[in-house]
Amino acid sequence: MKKVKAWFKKHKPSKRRLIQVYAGLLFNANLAGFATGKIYQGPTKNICTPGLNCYSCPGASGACPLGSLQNSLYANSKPMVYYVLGIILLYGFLFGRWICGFLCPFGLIQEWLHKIPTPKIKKGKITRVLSYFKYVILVVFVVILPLMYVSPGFCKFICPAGTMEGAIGHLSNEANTSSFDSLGPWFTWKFVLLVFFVVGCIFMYRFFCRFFCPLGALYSLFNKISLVGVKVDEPKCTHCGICVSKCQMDIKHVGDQECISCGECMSACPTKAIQWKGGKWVLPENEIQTTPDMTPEEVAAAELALEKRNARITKRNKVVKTVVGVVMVALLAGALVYYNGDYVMSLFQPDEPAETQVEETQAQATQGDAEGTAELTEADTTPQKPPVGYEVGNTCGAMEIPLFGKDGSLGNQVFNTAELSGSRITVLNFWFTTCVPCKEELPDFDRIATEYKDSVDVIALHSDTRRIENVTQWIAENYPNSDIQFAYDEGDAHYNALFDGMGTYPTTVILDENGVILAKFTVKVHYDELKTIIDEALAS
Amino acid sequence: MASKKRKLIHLIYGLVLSLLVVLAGVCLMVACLQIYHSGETRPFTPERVAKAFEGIAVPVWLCIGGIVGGILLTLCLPLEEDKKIKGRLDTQVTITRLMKKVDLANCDEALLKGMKKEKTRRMVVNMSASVFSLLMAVPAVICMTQPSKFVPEGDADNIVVAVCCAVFGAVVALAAWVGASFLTAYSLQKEVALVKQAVKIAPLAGVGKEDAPQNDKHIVLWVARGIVLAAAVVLMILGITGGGMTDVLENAIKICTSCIGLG
Repeated sequence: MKKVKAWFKKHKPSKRRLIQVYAGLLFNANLAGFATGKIYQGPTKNICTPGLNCYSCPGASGACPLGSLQNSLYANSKPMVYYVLGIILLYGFLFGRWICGFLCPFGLIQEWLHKIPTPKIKKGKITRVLSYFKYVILVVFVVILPLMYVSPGFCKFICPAGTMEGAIGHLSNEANTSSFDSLGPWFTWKFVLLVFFVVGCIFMYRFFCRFFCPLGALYSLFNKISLVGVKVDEPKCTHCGICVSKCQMDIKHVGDQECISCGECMSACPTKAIQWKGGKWVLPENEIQTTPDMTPEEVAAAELALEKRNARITKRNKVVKTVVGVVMVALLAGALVYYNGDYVMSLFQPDEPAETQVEETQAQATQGDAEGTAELTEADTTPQKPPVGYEVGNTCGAMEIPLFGKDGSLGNQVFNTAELSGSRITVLNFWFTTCVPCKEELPDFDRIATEYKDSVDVIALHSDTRRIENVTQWIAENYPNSDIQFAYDEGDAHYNALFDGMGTYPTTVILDENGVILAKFTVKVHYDELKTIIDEALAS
Repeated sequence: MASKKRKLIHLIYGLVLSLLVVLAGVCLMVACLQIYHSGETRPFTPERVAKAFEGIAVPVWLCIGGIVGGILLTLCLPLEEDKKIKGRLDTQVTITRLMKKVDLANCDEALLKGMKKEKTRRMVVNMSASVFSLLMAVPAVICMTQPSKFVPEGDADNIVVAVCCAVFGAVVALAAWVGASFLTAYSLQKEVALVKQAVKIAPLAGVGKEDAPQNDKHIVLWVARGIVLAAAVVLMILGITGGGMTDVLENAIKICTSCIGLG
C-alpha cells in the first residue's frame, strides 16, 4: 500500500498539467458538439482564445486568434484586423509565451504524445536553427498569403489543429457523412502533414510548437515584456548553464524568445536564481538584506520585519489560492452547463419523428425576431413526393426567400420554393462576404446563371451577422449586372431550415423542378460539377 | 533487476516502438494517398474510406499495443532518473559575459585581432546564409502566390506541386542555415578560447558579481509595456466600435471547409 501511495505521489500531475487540462476543457467546453456533429454558434465565439484551437472544432467555445487574423487580412476588414491584433497584443503583454506552456490545448497534446516511450531526439545546433522557421511561416503563410488574396495560408495549407480538431472532429460524427464527398487532395495533404507532426511530436519535444507554430512566433516577440513568465535573478546566478541543459526548448538563456515559461528549470537551479516574474510581491523571501555597518539590533529588527512580511504574504496567498480555485472551478462548471445543458436536457426528452422535426425547425424560423423573414408553408407531403428533409432525395422545405432588388432594397421580390414553375432547376447557394471559398465560387455561379438563364434560377443567400448595407454595397461593387438573384438570409432562417444548422460554408443545394434535392455540396463547388448536374437534370 | 539490464530492455522496447510508430505513420499516409488518387470517382462514403484503411489496421493496433506495453513497462520496471545534469551555457552568452571582465586597453593585440577576425567570419557566414535564403525565398513566395507561373493552371494537384516546390526551397534555405550554424559554432569555440586567455592576461580590476544597471533596464521595460498595453487597448476599441467583433463571430460560427481541408 505504501508503495502504491508513493507511486501515485510521484506520478501525480503537476500544477502546470492541471492548468493545461483545465484550459483545454474550458476552450473546448462545447462537448455536446462532438455528440451532435455541429459547432457552437453562440456569442462567446467573438472572443479569441489565447492558444491554438481551431474554431471549426465541434467543441470550440471561442475563436482561434490565428484563423481570425488571417481571415481579417484576407477580407481586408480593418475593424477585424484592429480587434484581433489588439487581442493578440493584450495576450502577449500579459502572458507572452507562458500561454504556450500553460494554456495552449495543442501544446498539451504535443506533450502527451511526447510521453510515448520511444528514444527521443534531443535539442542541438540544428534544432536551434530550425526554431527560426516558425517566423518564416508567420510572415509567409499568416501575413503575405492572406494579404495577397490567396487564402488564409496557414489554416489552409498547414494547421494540424484544424485537421485534427476540425476535420476529423467533423467527419467522425454520423451526422456529417455527406462531408466525405468533399474529401480530396487538400485533405490528403493536410492529413499527411498531421501524421508528420504527430510522429515528430513523439520523437521530439513540442515538435510543432518549436519549429512551425506561428502563434508561438508572435507571442515570443513579447516574452521579455510580458507580466507573467520566468526571469533570472542576476545577482544569484552563477552561469552554470544547468537551466539551459534541463530545458527541452531551444533556449539560449532562460526567458528568451524560445522560453515557454513552463518553470521546469526552477527545480534544477542550484542557487534558486530562477523565479516567476512578480515573485517579489507574491512570494516569501528567504534572506534579509544586510549591510556591513548594521548593528545586531538592526539585523534583528530586519529579521522580525521579514518574518512578519512572510507571514502576511503566506496568509494572503492562502486566501487568494482558495478564491482563485473556487472561481476557476465555478467558471468551468458554468461553461460546461452553459454549452451542454440544452443537449443534456434533450437526451431526457422523448424522440420526435424526423418529419415533425423538420416542420418544427421550419416553423421556428418564422418565429425568429428577424424582420421580413419569409413565411414558411406546410411542406407538400403528398404520396408522390419524397418526404421533406435535408438530404439528397428529400423534398426541400417550402419557403419564400426575399430577394435584393437592383436598387438594393430587400423584400419587394420573393422567390418561393413552393411555387416552382415545374420546368426550372433551382440552385441555392449560401455564402457570406468574408468567406474566402464562397467568394471564389461566385464567378462560376454567375456563369451558370448567364448560360442557363432560361432554365435555371441561381439564388445566392447571404448569411446573417453582416449589416444589409455592407452586403448590398459589396454586391453592387462586384456583381452589378449579374443574373444571380441575391438574397439575404436574416437570422440564418433559411439555412437552418434547410440544413438544421450544420454551419458549413459555402453550401450549395440543387433542386429539380419539383423541389426535390438533386445534389448538396458543403464545400466550394466548380462550374463543371454544376454544369454536369444541371445538364443531367434538364435532360431527364 | 540490475539497472543496466533495465536500461537495455527500455532501449530495445523504445527502438521497436519507434519502428512501429514510423511504420504506422507511413501506412496512414500511403492509405490516404491511395484513396484520393486511385482514379475512382466520388462519392467517398465512410464505408469506402473505412475499407481503404483496413489494410493499415495491423500496424496501428501494434502501435497502440506497444504504447500500452510501454505503460506497463514503466510501471513494472521503472528507470531511475538521471539526477546529474551537466550545465551547458550558450557560447555567445559566455563570450558576452567574459568580455565584461577583460581590460581591453591592456589586452594583447594579437588576441583582440583574433577575436575580431572570428566576429567578421561569423558575420560573413550569416550574411551569406541570409542572401542564399532570400534567393530561395523569392521564387518560393512567387510560387505560392501565383502557381501558374511555374505549373499549368488547373486542379488542386498542381497547387500541391507548387507548394512542394516552395517547401523544397525552404528546405534548401534551412540546410544553408544549418551549415552556417555549424561554422558559427566552430568560430565561437575559437573566440571563447581567446576571450578566456584575455581574461587571464588582462582582467578588468574591481569586477566582482555582475551589477547590471537595473534601474535603467526597468524603466525601459515599463515604458515598452506601457506602449504595448496602450496599443492593445486602442486597437481593441477601434476594432470593437468598427464591428470587428461581429466579423470575428461571423467567421467563427461557420465551418471554414477549406481551412480544415475539406474541398
